[in-house]
Amino acid sequence: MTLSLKNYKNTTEVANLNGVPLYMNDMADAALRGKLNMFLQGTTGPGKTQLVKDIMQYFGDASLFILGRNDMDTRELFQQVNPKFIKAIQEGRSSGSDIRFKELTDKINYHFIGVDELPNCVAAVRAQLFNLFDGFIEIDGKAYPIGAEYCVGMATGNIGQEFTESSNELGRALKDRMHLIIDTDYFMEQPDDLYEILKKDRNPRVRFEESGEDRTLEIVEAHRALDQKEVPFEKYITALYLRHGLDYLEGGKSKTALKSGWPAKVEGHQAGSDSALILPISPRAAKSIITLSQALDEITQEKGAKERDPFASMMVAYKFVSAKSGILNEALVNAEYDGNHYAAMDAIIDATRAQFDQNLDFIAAGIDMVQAGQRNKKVLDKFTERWGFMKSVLQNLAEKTK
Amino acid sequence: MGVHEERLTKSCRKNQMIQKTIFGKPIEGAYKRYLSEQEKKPDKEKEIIIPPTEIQNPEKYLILKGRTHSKYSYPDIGVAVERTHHDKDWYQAHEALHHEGSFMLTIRQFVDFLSLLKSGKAYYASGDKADTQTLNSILDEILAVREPCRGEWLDADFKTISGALHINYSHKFINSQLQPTYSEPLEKCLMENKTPGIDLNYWLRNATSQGLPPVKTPNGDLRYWAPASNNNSVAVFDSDAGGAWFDCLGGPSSSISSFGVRQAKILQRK
Repeated sequence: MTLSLKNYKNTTEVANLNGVPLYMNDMADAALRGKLNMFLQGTTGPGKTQLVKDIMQYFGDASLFILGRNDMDTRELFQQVNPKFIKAIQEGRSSGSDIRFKELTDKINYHFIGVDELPNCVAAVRAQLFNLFDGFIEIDGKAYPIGAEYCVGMATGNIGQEFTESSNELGRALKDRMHLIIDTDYFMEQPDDLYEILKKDRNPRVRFEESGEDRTLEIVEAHRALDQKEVPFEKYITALYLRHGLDYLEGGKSKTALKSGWPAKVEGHQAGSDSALILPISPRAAKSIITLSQALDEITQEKGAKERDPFASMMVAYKFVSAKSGILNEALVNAEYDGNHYAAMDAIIDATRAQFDQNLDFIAAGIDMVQAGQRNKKVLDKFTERWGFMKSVLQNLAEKTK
Repeated sequence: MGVHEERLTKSCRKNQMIQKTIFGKPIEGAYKRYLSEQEKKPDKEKEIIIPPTEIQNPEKYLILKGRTHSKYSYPDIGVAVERTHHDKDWYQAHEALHHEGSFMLTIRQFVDFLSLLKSGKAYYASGDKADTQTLNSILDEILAVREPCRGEWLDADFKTISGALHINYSHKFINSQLQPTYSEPLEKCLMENKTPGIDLNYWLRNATSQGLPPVKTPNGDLRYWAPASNNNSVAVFDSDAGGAWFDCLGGPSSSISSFGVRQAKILQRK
């Protein structure tokens, strides 16, 4: 499945994986395959909306585009989703188990929801939009699946950094419901791209072409295939490190348990290390990272990659899922990386790679031991501190593979 | 068994059949290799590292465990308890260390080494625990404000590249040329000379990943010469009756009889 976008053009490399350069459209492609909601954050004009609209073309009638406005209420939103909703709600048919209301939601069948300027929406509308991204509508506290087996959302917003950094309602909601937040300001188009764009058209309006090739089935099938693809064992180990390894602080303390005490209470040499720079990922982020990594692997293979590097792939996914997810120490990012979250993530990835390099012999020995059906305390005891999780993984596997 | 655990187990079972490597490393034989290496290891401090054969006197080295500081990581190293190679300039000290398979401590490693000494808990590369009195005497040798003058070179060379002050460190000899493994823009750090001085303990606790004191380091007794863009400065730590100095303005071609260097060697985990 190759998605070439009709109008959006940006050949700035956002990552290089398995020897294949990846661009912004590849990240969008990966989000679609992985069914990951994506939020494009950045200044006005670089093409965020165009990217969303180009993606929309592939979903034909099964897509919905909403322009976020602060005067839109949920009634108007439902009106846009399906006018019969309002009527059904007015008639009180949304409560209980009204079969016709159920049929209404089943008929919506949107696979793609694109929202421009999402932060303009009031909190109640935003909440419903996030629900739509996830494939349901919530009315009177009850969730109604909107019929589509596959549903994904893509939104844009020109918001200040403080929104994604802070714990305000919008920041929390974005981090909670959008699986992938990309700051497009760090991936500006190349001069050649702009030259091509300008040559083609000087109309500053976003191009919205009505007729497009409907590739819904192909995208949904690509998602199904990805979902069924075996996840390499290395990716689980990497995810566990990012969750449990990065939670560890000297003396057996936990960053998570420090709660608001992190990072202020991180002392000694740890204060200058990744211990004070990043929190562990959440289990939900772990799922997003593995899914994105799997999707990126597929894309690189389709682009000609001969081999796959599960660790590198997980690191690319980690970078883009986590950079804007609120787990970085903002003060340190500002002080040490000029506020560039991606530069901070690169530093963490370098440190993570060094950690894995240093422990690779033990990991291999541990897995070989488990596969041989053995359990040796000396090997298990090699895994201490931030690698303590590996000990329990091997112990469990040793038990289960007996 | 949770779903995740089940998938993990299944994956591992599957690996038994089809996966021969983990992160590109061959799995088969890794366990046996580990066991055979273990047999060679004397039964001392279990968590600690066994020195490679080139360390002739492991009881003369303290183990500095590998650390990660932001994007800078280093492995477990043995740090000599005594300075050697006196009366050599910074380049000559590097060369002398190179010939014996050793290297000079980076500022960050030196900071961690001082913290290790101050912690009062350290092990020799032989696996034996170092007593507190010995650690204090090493600290005293480095920090005490008294005669005679004592100093040691550190592996940091400050250079202006494209208008930005850079720190070059982890130097190695490549084709007979001393070259830095890392050449990075200097992270934000204290760029003001303090005579006196800065708070030593604050520096040790809050050093940047490159080892420099942070911008807002409180005042204290440790004299500090900040890095400068004269393209002829390296780092040195020295003490005499006038005070203890962390000096990033050291002349690399100066050789002082009381200045030496502290050998460091990478320790192999067994």
